[in-house]
Amino acid sequence: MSEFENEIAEMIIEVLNLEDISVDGIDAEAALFGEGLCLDSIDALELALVISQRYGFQVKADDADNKNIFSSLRALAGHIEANRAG
Amino acid sequence: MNPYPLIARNDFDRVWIITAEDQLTVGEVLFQARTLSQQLPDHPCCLLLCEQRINFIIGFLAALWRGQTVLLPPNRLLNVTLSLLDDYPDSYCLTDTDAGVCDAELFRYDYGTAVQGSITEVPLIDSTQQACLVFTSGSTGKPVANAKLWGDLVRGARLLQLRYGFTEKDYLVATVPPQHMYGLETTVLLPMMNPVSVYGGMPFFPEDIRQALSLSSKPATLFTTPLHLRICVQARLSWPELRQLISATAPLSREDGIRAEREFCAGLGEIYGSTETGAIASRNTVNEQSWTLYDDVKLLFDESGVRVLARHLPHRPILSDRIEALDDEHFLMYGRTSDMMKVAGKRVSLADLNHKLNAIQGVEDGVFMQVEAASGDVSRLCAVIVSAELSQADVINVLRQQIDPVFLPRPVFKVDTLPRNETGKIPRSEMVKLLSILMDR
Repeated sequence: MSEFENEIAEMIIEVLNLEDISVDGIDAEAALFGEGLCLDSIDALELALVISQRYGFQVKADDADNKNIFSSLRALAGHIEANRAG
Repeated sequence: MNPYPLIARNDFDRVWIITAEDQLTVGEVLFQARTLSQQLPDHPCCLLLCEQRINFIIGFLAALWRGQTVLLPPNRLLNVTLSLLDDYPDSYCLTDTDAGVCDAELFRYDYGTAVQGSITEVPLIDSTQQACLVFTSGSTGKPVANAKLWGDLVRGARLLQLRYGFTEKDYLVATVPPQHMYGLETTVLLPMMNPVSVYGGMPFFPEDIRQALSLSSKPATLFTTPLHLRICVQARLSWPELRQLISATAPLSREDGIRAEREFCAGLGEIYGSTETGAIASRNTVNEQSWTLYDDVKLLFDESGVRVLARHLPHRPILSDRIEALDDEHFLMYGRTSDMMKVAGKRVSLADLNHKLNAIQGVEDGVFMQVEAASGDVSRLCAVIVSAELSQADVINVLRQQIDPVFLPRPVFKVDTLPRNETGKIPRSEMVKLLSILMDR
């Protein structure tokens, strides 16, 4: 896991109160929703809000590849890194 | 048995559905609906899974035109879809995504790839036609059907219109899915009967919502939920001019109402309703604590609970909220009765969740609880279990197969024993005490 993926994993655990999960317990390639971490759409909203506050850009669902953005930790970290302000 | 026209608007050249790419007039929507109705598979029931509102509206019109009953699932989880197909073997899926459903007959529709045209033909639909079955997640995890006749849907939507008085100057945007009764009434049925425009997409993140609201020069009405309002208020976006905000699915506090009105510079109204009844009352959250019933809707208090009397609700559904009548038109609402809980607009029985939890092999004892959330937050459920062999993740893995994801306990705590009293019950005070210790741990 890259340093930035680690940072995003920590953010997910912190924002969503996933107290029973550690960063090491997240597979960077595994699905965040449904399977894997089992997040749902409410979590996606919470994460999008914190992403906009910390990384200075708005997540959009109608990005053509939206399903890919939240598909895994690696995909999410990649999307944030590519779109972050500054 | 009076028939009602499929749409009660004859402004065929006016824009009905707006998307980021397109604007479809009433005549164009009708053309799409008629064409699709002729192509739909020959089955009595249509499981309408379309995610984009424009595809949903056209699919809904087409199925009605064809005389089919539309099945509206509580969510798009595969096990829910399969369970519905199991219960209604004479159905097929109408969808606009690639999400495949094994075994079922699948019909793909996307307005963007369909042939374009415009007509002024409006069919009459028998008022006793079974228009749709709206499913709730159901306390047993198995979807529960709420049958709606076409005539009753029309009459219910008229009451909604009587309260809000939408005109051709209105543009409606919603964050709620059209499969949900609230989304169906406000963004599908109401625009079928009134000269409004509606956004054809499914905006989800605050930026999606902002863009959708900006697509028309008409000031928009945003139909949303307490959750989305809170997220939007925190998103620090610059919002276009709105006509009003309308929230439903869970009561909003006065403080959250004030925050939302300030952020959007628009008035906020709330709708009270349920899948069984549709919308039946409204309030101006910032100025009113009490709810005002729609015209011709009455509440009847009898031994079985609070029943709703209205011409379009002949079976007199019972409300599952605690209600106090103030007079014939006004009431106060105090949350759910008995063990029913609500998370993110979905209802679930606590007893049923506890039963499922304790039925898991390896769980010696367990209990679900709803954690009181900070104002406006979604109150999630958590669970406390006693188990020698299972981890928290094991328990979640089993539950995930059986219940809607919003009800999954977050987190699951493990303890040595639960504070049951001599009758086997867990006093709420004991549970609150235990939780506060676990949360601080």
